[in-house]
Amino acid sequence: MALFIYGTATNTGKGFFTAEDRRAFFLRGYPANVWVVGNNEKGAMWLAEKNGVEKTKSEAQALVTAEVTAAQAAWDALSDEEKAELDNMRPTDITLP
Amino acid sequence: MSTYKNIIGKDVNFLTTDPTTDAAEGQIWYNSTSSVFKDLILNSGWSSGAPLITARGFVAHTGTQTASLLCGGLSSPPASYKTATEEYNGSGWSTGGNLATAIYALASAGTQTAGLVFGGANSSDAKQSTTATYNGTAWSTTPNSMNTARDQLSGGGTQTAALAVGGRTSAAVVTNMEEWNGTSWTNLTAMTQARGYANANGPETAFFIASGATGDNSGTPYTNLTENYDGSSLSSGSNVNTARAAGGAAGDSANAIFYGGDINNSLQVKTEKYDGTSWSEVADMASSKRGSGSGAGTSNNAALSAGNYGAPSTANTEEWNVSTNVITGAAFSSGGNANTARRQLGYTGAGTQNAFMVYGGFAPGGMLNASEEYNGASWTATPNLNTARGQDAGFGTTTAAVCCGGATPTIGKYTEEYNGSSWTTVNSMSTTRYEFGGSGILTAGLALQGDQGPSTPFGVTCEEYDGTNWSSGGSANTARRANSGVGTQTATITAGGQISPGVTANVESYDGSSWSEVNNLNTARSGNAIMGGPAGATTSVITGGSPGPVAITEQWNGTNMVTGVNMANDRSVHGAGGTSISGIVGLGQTGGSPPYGDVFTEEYTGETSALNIKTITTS
Repeated sequence: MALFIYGTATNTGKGFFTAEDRRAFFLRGYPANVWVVGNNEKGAMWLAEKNGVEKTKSEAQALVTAEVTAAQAAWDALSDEEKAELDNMRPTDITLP
Repeated sequence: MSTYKNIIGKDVNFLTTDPTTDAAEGQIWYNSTSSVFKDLILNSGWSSGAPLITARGFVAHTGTQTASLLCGGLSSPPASYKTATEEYNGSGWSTGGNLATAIYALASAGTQTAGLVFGGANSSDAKQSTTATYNGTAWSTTPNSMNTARDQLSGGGTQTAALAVGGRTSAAVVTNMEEWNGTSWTNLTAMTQARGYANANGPETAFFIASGATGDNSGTPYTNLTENYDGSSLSSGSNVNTARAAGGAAGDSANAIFYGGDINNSLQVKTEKYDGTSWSEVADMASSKRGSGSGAGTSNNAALSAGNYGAPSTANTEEWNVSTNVITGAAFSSGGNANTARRQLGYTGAGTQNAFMVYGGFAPGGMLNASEEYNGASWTATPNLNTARGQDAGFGTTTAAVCCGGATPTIGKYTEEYNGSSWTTVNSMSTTRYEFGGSGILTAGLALQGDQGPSTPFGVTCEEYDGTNWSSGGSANTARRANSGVGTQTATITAGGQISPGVTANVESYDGSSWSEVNNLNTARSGNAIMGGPAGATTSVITGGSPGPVAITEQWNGTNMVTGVNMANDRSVHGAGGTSISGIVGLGQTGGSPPYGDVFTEEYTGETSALNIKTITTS
């Protein structure tokens, strides 16, 4: 059985995930509203209840990569002065677990 | 019909409030306030603990649930062999001294301050016989090695009286047992069943060896046999219910528990407990684990499981408890989304989870003058700063806040006060600074180090604010910027930051006049933010930071930094407020977010412990 479920869901703020959710299953958020969810019953229920759309790992990775690439392009378009103001923290590539 | 008094020997107590100690275990009482019968129930199960600093499996793990020692191991993919040692204090992990060589599938005995490891395999899969001792700080290789080099072995006992059991040589799984007397190893009578990755633990005089793999590479067949050793001879014990290998184990031959493991490459969550007569299935772990090591726990009422070898390897920690208390682990939950995305902002570190304020910072289009306030559910825009700025710092509360320094983009000394309804420009700091930390309250605040301009990009100086004027404070030892701070003007810590070059794990403590070096972060980073409020110098949670950003947190207990639970999102150059029990983090840069950050927040609830009191009903 795979360790994780991959999906997209919009973080609506308060109540989107609870402390009980975090204790019941693995949950990590990524760019493009991608969430990596522990593959157990509660994790699957959480994604469904949040109107999430399940993705394959490669689909989820593609969404994240596209978002990071766009963020990197936005970063690269900044002036050197602006980059320095932002501590030269260029968005880094992300590999989903 | 018998009565409660006939059975127990006393009447049911009438109480106006529930008992507050576990002395009431097993008793029934009538709560006259809520008009219900109640009792205090023994509770058993696994609860989450703070993750390891380094994810891995096939580790050595020894000690107790509140003072354990874990070292070595392997993670994948790609295969990475570990020398790192970590110590658990019941709340989180901190780094210990490294092993001399990266070893996995090794065994251990002893305690956190007097540990012993032996055997295992190196990155070339060469079986080891090396033995090393740990003194609470560093490992030393002993002159004498085991008689038979092997990995996948089990161990237990103390640093001066240990057992090495079974395992795999380069040829086969073996029955070998050896005894360590603090100086050298002696061969003992062999086990009946050759096995590797057995689930085993105990002192030398009450040692159990449960299940395990009888084939190579943890493969089938698995044995369900248990053998016990009493210090002089082996005897057969009860068979386990589910034969498996590479689980964890705790306790001794009379009070044993084993958990997790592997069956044909299927990782397990099962837990079995031995009561002196037979093994029975008890509550499963939340996460399957293989190779989490045996030996962290001296009874079947308190055990610790950490790490997992899988694809990927994980850092999960779980605690097994049998107690009248219900332990609820710390966790983050989603908070309300802010109105304006921003990073490198000012915030009220002395605020609470339900009264927290952010101001200034960078957003698309440049520096912000906007401020907004969180009430525990949603964000509301509050009056603008008089001067828009980014990389500012702040301190205080939502009714008495300070915003100081920052870039407009010109680096400034600007200071403004907020009284709950408007911002007023007040006396400036003595020194220009941005990318710095703040702590304290409006009438007793601190501006901590930071970038003080081209001539001093990594500052040591600090300033104190009394509500009217700024004055010089003590100078820190490590020059830094992008650091955070928490506490009061007379009891503050600053953690991490950028140094030249790189980032630092350094933590310093301020007593109102001078700075002292204290124990470092486990992970060096800048741009972190700290939940802790006025008590932050003695109890706080350091969140996120860069390089990354990262989602990790560390708990500060006034002495040590230990790992905490992860946030859901990576986060850096963000804000944080509240306490180590009830806090909030948010905004800043999340992983891959556009350069100017996002609007997400997370609320933190610290670990709690409460008596497991149940109301008795007729249904």
